[in-house]
Amino acid sequence: MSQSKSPRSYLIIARSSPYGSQQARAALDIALAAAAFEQAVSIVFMDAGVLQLLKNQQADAAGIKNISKVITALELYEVNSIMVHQEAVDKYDLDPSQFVLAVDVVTSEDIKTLIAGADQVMVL
Amino acid sequence: MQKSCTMAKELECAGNPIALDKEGYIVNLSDWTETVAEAIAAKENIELTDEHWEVITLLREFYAQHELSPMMRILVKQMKEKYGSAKGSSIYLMKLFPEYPALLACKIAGLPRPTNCP
Amino acid sequence: MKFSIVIHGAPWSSNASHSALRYAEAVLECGHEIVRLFFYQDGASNGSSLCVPPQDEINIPEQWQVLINKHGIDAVVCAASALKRGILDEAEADRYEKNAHNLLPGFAVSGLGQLIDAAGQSDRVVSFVQ
Repeated sequence: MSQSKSPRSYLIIARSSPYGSQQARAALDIALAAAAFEQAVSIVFMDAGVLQLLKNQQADAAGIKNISKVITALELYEVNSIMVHQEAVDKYDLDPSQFVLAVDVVTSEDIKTLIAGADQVMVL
Repeated sequence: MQKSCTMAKELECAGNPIALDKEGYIVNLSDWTETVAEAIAAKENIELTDEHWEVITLLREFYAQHELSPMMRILVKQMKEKYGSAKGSSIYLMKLFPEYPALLACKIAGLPRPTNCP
Repeated sequence: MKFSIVIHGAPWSSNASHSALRYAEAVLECGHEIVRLFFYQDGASNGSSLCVPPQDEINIPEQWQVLINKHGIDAVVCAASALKRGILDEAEADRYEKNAHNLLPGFAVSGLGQLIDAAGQSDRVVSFVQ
């Protein structure tokens, strides 16, 4: 089971708001690093994490880096699957058309299956 | 563990001094101009050709769009998409920017100095 | 079983670091193996040699160092996290022209690739966030 250097599947659960802490960026950096090392990476945005996906973030007005710009790099790094939790979309009254990239909307049941199927799960 | 501090170096560029750190990265990203790029490259014994500028432009566009310096593999992939498979290889980039192409190209393109080891 | 442990918290800002330390001790006591400790984000501060807690409190960075040296554990501090927070080894202090270095012996500075590498070799990656 261990020792293997063959690609593993990672599920990154990004549940932190974009600018309340460093967690949002940390989750993205792990996803990008894993993808750069040719691992199979999926990311699901849950809870306040969905806010990371919004268009028109004006972080530069606050003199900080714009999370959504990093998010648009996920596809280039070949992150397999970019998903968002339906409940979070509903809770914040959002529509996927407001997001900076196309995402798959998934249910709690779907996320259970994803967690069960991933080699490594990281929640930030 | 106290150590003596050394002064940052400067790059003389069209009469203007540009602050560089110890390894030759520009200190203030806003100092970057095409002339500065040429001066940094000259310090590394590289004369910038159109082929170099394709890479530099791609890096600067990538950074403007994603606020990230692409890792080597991604840079290769981007080169391939934009300029075709002959230019989308690490060997091609090695020829243009010897030894550590991603680091050296970032240095000349005026991107933030990568903090992770190559 | 093979474990890797990711420490996201600074020594006294939350319980993350102390809990991770206790967990790591327990992992070893139970006969398991630690592939790598990865100190990420605020966790990088666990590598500081300059923490001086009062005598009646545990010195968390020092305890990490004791554990690391006693068992020869591979302990990596994320370079980007550490640099931002003023945790530097001698080579970096020199590279960035800083007047001091403070990384505890036993800790190594490296990139996020070391976390991915560790995860590839481990049965479990356990993160201590907040």
